[in-house]
Amino acid sequence: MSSIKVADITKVYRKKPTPALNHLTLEIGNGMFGLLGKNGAGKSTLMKILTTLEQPTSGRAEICGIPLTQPGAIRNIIGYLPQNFAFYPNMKVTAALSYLATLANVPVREQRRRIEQLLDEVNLTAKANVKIQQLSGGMLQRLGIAQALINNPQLLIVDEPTAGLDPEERIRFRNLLTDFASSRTVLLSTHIVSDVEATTNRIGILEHGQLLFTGTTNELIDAATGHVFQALIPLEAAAQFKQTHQISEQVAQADQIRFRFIAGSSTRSPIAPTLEEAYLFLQAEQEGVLP
Amino acid sequence: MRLFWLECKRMCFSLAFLIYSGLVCAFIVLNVSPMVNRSLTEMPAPSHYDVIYASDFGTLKEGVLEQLVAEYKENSYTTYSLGFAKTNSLKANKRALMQTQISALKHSKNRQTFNAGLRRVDTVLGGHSAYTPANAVTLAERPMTKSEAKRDYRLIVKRDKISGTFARVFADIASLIVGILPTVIIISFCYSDRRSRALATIQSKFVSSGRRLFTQYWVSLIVLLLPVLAVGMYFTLRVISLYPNQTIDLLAFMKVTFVWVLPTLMVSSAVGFLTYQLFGNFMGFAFQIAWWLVTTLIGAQRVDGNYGWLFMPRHNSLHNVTYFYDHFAMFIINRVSYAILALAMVVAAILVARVRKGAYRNAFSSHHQRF
Repeated sequence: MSSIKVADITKVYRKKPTPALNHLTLEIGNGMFGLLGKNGAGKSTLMKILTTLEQPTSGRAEICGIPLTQPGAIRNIIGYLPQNFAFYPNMKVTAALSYLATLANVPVREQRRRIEQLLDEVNLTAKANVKIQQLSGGMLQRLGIAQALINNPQLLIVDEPTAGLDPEERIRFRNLLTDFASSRTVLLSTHIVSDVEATTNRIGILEHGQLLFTGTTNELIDAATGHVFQALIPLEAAAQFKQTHQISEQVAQADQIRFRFIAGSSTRSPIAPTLEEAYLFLQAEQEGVLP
Repeated sequence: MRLFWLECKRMCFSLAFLIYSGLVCAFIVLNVSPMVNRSLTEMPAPSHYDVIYASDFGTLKEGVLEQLVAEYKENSYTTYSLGFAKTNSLKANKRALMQTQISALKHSKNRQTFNAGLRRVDTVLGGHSAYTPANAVTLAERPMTKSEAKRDYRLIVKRDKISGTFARVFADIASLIVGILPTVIIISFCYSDRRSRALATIQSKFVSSGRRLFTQYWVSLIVLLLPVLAVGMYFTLRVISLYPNQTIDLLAFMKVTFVWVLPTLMVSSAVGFLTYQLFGNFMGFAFQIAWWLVTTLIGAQRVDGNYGWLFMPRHNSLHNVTYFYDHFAMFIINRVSYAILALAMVVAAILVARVRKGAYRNAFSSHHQRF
């Protein structure tokens, strides 16, 4: 059974000429699912609709069999980590979790045990009595994931969770998400390909409010196979090469630059694409800008 | 209940509440203390009898005509549009009309014809004058007679039990500050959700925005009343120490806090919640300042006993006790009406919050069918 069913959802904001979501249809099963897309692709709008923070202009959706028309029931079974999570800066970590546990309808007698357990899981026990304003970016995100799990949700929705984190915190956070995905559905929305690559093989790609691709990471890479190439170009010719090719990577090597690029075809031999290159290939193909 | 206590804690530990408490306590103590220091244990000397507004027709007619004729001679009349005093003069044709009305008032034989004449005078002046039948009573000012002063004194000692008299002044002053400050405190409290980027996290939880708002409203009433209650307790102890041999109503300050001050607080707090839901900014405070100013100016026309439909009823006097008890029913209707208005505003705020989240669109939309 699918955890999330979205059918023909459109969201139009007032004073915006194009819809944020345009007849979007998507089904997501159990486990972790990565939703990739550029900034402004409609990811956050979809997250807000699924968490009942916003209403679609048209279309329908269900979460674990519950339609959006029952927002209370949906909020009871989901956990949400919004983009740029923050909370009252003067509140202590435990107090914030206690407040949010109360709002999440967690019975009072269970709150203490649950908070202690979550702080332990996200490695914040030592910061339990610290004010939120004193937490680092990574700690704040870990507090965010703890609050999202406070009601032991069936579905965890996380929106751009690693933005602004340093590499060490990013890895730690990805591992945390993967751990949680073993026992529930996690919908991870991000524009950072490596976040998805490191956590799941099931993805969807959103562009201009429409779903460009849904499937596994291998299927996406397969689609790009034969369209990624490599070339060693002298420094003096590099600028012109960049103008005529869609570059995915460039590495300086003495007086040459090694380029990886995406193209419909090339005289050079193709190489194995990375997930990021497959993602770029899909977008370029969609926009009709593939050389 | 747990949410109630958590919201109480959140509000009590906010900087805005600390500033509010300091301002409320200082304002009440500074304004009420000089009154509490006055002695109420003895009948005042005849030269110190309080001035009252007479209710007899003769005094009313004399007082009205005295002022109206003086203003006519100067051709300078004061009107009070929205409580703001404004001086007007009349053109020749209206002066002639006014002369006719003054003559008619002089020949009035009873209150009915006199009131009809007053209404015509008010019309000539363009309305909002001191000569409407309701406003004209303030022109019938005279010192109390000995028997009236005795009755006043008896009421202070027997019915008010001294503390009740001071409590009225206390409530009068407390209402002035509680009629405005809570609005900005509430808007600031609501705005903290957005300022700390906590809104999306909170709204994704099970408890609805409406339930949270309603809980926060009740919390605001209790928490924002605490400084008033504390000062009330202080003055109760003060009165006990000043009148050790008198029977004191120990609950007098508590009674006026809940019956007199609370409805004003209910309204100013509800304005904060409603306007924040409507505008999402501090615009509601500007609205409350305007309402407060108009009420204060209207109330200032007669501060020693002025209830009517005033948002902040006035009784800034240790006397005029008879007037208070004679108009007690009117006073209670005023307070109950404002309490109902406040609750209606809170319900409106909840509805606005639900509409903003698309709750009704969600419930009635034909697009949202099950799979």
